[in-house]
Amino acid sequence: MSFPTLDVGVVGGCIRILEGIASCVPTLLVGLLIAAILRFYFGSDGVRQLFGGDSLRSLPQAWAVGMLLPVCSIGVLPILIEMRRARVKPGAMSAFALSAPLFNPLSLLYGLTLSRPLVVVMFAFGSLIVVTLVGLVWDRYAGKSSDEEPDAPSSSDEDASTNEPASSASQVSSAGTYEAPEMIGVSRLLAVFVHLTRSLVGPVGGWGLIGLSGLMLLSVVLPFGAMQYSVERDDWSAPATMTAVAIPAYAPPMLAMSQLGMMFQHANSPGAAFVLLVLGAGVNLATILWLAVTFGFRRVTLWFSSLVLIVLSIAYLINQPLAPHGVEPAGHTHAFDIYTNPLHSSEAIRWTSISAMLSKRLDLATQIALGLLAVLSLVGAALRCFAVDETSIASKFASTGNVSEESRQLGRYDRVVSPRLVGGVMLCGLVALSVVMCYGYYPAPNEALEEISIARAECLSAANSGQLEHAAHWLGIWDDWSRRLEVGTFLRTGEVRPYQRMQGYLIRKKLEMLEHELEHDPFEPEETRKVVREIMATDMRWTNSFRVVDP
Amino acid sequence: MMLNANGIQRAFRLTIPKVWMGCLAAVVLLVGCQGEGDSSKKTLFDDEHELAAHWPEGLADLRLKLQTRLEQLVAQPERSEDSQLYAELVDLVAWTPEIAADTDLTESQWLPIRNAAEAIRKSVQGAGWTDSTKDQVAELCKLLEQAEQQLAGLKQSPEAAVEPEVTS
Repeated sequence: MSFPTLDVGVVGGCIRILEGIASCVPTLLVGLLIAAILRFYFGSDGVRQLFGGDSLRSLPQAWAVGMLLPVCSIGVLPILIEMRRARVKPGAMSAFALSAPLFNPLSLLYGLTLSRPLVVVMFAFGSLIVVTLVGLVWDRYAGKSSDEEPDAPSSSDEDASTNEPASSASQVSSAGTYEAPEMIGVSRLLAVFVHLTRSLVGPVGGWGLIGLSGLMLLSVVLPFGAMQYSVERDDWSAPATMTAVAIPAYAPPMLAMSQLGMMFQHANSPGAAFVLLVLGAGVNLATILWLAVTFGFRRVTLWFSSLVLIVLSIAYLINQPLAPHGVEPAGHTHAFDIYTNPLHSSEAIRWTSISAMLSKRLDLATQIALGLLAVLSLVGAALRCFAVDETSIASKFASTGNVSEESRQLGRYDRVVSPRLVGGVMLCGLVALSVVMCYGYYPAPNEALEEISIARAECLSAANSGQLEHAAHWLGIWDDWSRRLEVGTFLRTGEVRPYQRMQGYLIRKKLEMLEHELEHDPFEPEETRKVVREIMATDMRWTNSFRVVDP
Repeated sequence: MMLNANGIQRAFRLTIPKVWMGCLAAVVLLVGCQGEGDSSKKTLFDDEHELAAHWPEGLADLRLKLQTRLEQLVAQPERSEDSQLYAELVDLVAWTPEIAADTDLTESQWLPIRNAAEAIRKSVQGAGWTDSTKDQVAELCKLLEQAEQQLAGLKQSPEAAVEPEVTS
């Protein structure tokens, strides 16, 4: 294996960072929103209570909260910052940091429809064991409990990693933590928005970029396709190799779960799959570095080495027992191409090909997400330029006569509820919304079949006529819809029948054969047509098995 | 100037992003300055999927391979369960649902074959290769033979002659 050249390494790394930004937007914004809700609705005491306080149940409770909230390993950073402000136990912070990015309702549903759903359930409980053990190690040997010295007053406005001056409007609680200014109603909602946008162009954005820079590092070190043969089932070094890649990598939950699916389809190492899930989706460089600067390098070294040791031990323990039955190892996989350089070392760098590569990835949803990110960043930058923060909003509303609860005229049906109740409803609403989103993202089988028929026609026609790029583009869409069809069926009927599952496996296997034909140099039209004919036969059986006949 | 633990930690907070970016740039430069990569390989997909030597070509081939190995087992019962023959038999049973699904068998025709293969897999995992397991394999072979006949019947029917078209 030879390293990419400087230009290929840097340009490829920049492409990977841009892809990373595009994929982290939804979960980052959700993370910022949750952090703001924790700050303005829960307060420090409420946050500590939410994560189990100093009790023994804090570790599993933090794990459970993490499993419910739809954030990635970058979206978890603003929440960690808020947890630190509230002086949540370091063990609970570690449990939350590791578990929150692993699963969310969307990715868990996806995982449950993989060839062996039990594996995903076992992985979920494996992650509970990991976060509990690592949390215990940290609380016992490395971390201090919540009665350690609080962060400096600088943490009132931003997180502990900034040294901005304390705001006069913030208060010190009885526990010694710095509370957000008290606000209610519109002013509080406005403060949530201001805090979110300011954080985005402040410390959270900075740490996010550090997290994504791991992708640049991987692009520089790993040439195109370098991971295709590294995680085979019989390769004893596969979990260790995956550890080295997963630590700097940033993997959103859905990407990690789809990679798990591909690993099972290709009969890759289950131990490496577990490492990918816990270390790839669970942590990135920013998580490790933020913990290091917050708690000290010595403690985090102990925490991180325990984490790697425990994860690797479990990975080697499950490697053989969880090996999929009846699946012939493919000998290679494209699942991890995303962590290697997207450009061939031998190719000259051309802006046209790079822009074509990027534009393929910029679908409508990504464009909307990036647009939203740009708008929020601009607002945040403007607020920072004009020194507007939540405390100035609090003082503004106070000076214009914000009505206190005591003086308010309550209507007959008005009830005074605590901020924590409102915040709790907002968090539950977020979880409920993500469950509802599952039904949108995984539509009913008939709708998915319509999308598949479009992708099939585009892909196969292009393959038959030698339009390789067009065929490859629609092939990816078809493959993605094949999974969504299964999850949508599972969501509505509670099962995917063995026959449907097997036909799905076959169609994806044959699509991969077609992908190879399309990338074969030189292109072989006859061989491609042969694969297309096989795909059409399988596709007919596969789609027929999912068709719901209207009564 | 005296720096306490908090001061050191705060200094790290300020400098760590810069240090990290610096390290990253250094790695980029160091690694990037190495020579050109291996450009002789035009495609990275030269190696196709690796297929096992005993991978069956179809349902009939699968049945033949199962029967051959079963006869060898019956002829040499003292053979160790670690032998290649047993390993291949396990593989063939495990591949049976996939090979059968890749034919025009309907779901109701495929399901008994899949269930029989699954039952054999569980028996082997539980009690190893007993006489009862070998009987199960013989039953599976009969099911496969029936399936071949059903497929032959399908080929003679006019619907099977129609090849699907690439349409949306």
